[in-house]
Amino acid sequence: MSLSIVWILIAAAILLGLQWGMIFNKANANKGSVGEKIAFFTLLFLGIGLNIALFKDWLTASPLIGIRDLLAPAAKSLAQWGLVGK
Amino acid sequence: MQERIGVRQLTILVIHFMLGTSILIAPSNLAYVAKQDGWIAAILGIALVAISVFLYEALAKRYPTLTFTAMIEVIVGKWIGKLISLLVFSYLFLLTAFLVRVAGNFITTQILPETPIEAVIVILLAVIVAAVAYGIETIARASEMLFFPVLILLVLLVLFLLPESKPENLLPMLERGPKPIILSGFYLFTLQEVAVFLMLYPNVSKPEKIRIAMLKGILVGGIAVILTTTFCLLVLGTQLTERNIFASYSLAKKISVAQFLRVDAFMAIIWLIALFFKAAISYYGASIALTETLGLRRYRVLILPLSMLVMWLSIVVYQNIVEFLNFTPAIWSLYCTCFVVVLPLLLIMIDRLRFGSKPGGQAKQGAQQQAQQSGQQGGSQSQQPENVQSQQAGVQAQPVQNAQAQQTVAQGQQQNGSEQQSAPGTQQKIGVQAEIDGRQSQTNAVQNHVPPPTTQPP
Repeated sequence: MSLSIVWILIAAAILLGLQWGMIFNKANANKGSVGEKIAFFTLLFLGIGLNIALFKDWLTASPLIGIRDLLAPAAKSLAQWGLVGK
Repeated sequence: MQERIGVRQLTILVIHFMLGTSILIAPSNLAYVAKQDGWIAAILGIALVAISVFLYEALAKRYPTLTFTAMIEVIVGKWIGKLISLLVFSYLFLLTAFLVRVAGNFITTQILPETPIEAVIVILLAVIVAAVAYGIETIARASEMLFFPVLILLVLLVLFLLPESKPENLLPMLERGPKPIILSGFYLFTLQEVAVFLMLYPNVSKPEKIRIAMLKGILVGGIAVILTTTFCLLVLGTQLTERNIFASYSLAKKISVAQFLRVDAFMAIIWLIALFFKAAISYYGASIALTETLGLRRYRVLILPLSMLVMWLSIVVYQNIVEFLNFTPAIWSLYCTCFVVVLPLLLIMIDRLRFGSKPGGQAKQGAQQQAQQSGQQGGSQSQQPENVQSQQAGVQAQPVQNAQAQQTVAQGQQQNGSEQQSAPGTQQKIGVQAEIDGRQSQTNAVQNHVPPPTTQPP
């Protein structure tokens, strides 16, 4: 296992510990609902997965590609209008 | 218990927010498009930001106790509202990732060239996450504490730059006509993104003073941005300013006090402090947006796992600085316009068309009151989420009445000294809050003609 994955897992374990200690381990009604736990673990696993994919060069595409493709023609027209001047 | 920030704190947060990206990046963008007229474009951009506040005010006035995402759900309906709220979340989240990445780029290219950007991003994120976990009150107090050091450093910077300036660098004026100035002003306007404060409006203790507080903040922050841009052009000239991404940092490098004191650190400190607040507010807004979209009780549950995603997004968001320069002014401005201009305008129009002169939630008032009464009898009030409580209040009662109730609460808080004190005793706080809750319930009850519920502990 490469060092980057180890660091990502350590970071995730620290986050899990912090969350458990501060929120999920409370004795009263504030310890968190099932929905909160589902949201937390979904986001955590998503974060771990995406970070590992990034550091292992499995998924390096920027999510901005979609926005860029969508807005590039309008942006180009706008820039042409403004940059030409007069 | 809902967090509260004062009007002055909001003004200072807006100032930091304005300085966040603009003070370092804006001069280059402005000079690239408007050349030596960049300072005029800066004035135009700041004026547009000030005008946009009236748009947000028009929307927030009808729903003073709701955040932006909650307003969307009330105005356009639950499921379409959730879809749009997710888009708003993606915008705020992307903004946070951009800010963190820009800060990482700045530190690794200008200050710590040997340090990997991942390490810098992790440290920055740790600070931002801690701040957001402490809450918006803490962020607002920290901004108050750090405001005067930033202001003093900014004034010193301007004073030191005065002897270096060459007024001929600003000539000829309007050489290429008004179009580049308009475009550049538009780019600057979209870089400011003060629409993010719509997520904080329900937290402000005096809703009727939000507009003036925002305008004050925009004025002060705008003057700082205009001065920085003007001095970049005056001292560095058009070509150096447009070619340098961090033009104002290069500007600060020009200053030499007594041949040994370097002032460039001033600019780095000002910008990093401001960027921290901008990133923290964006991250707070993103957490609240996702919490409300998912219907969760507490935004704090999402702060830590979201940080892993910000870490990923901030690294992957662009490959190199060329990609960033191609994306930021042109495409980001249009993407941003969708959320800071188009969406609020559409919401105002739909709200008027659907609900007329009465805000959306008022139509459901009777049914909601009955549901609330039955819920209170079942003792379910303590199960309401910390941020959703205020939204339900906004849906149930008239916004104006709620604004009055909030004002009463704020006055109560000020009388008890609990708003501005940093850490009052827990017992006292619980007592004061119970009193406030009781007073608010009574105020709402009187105004809505329903019997007051029993006082619940916070």
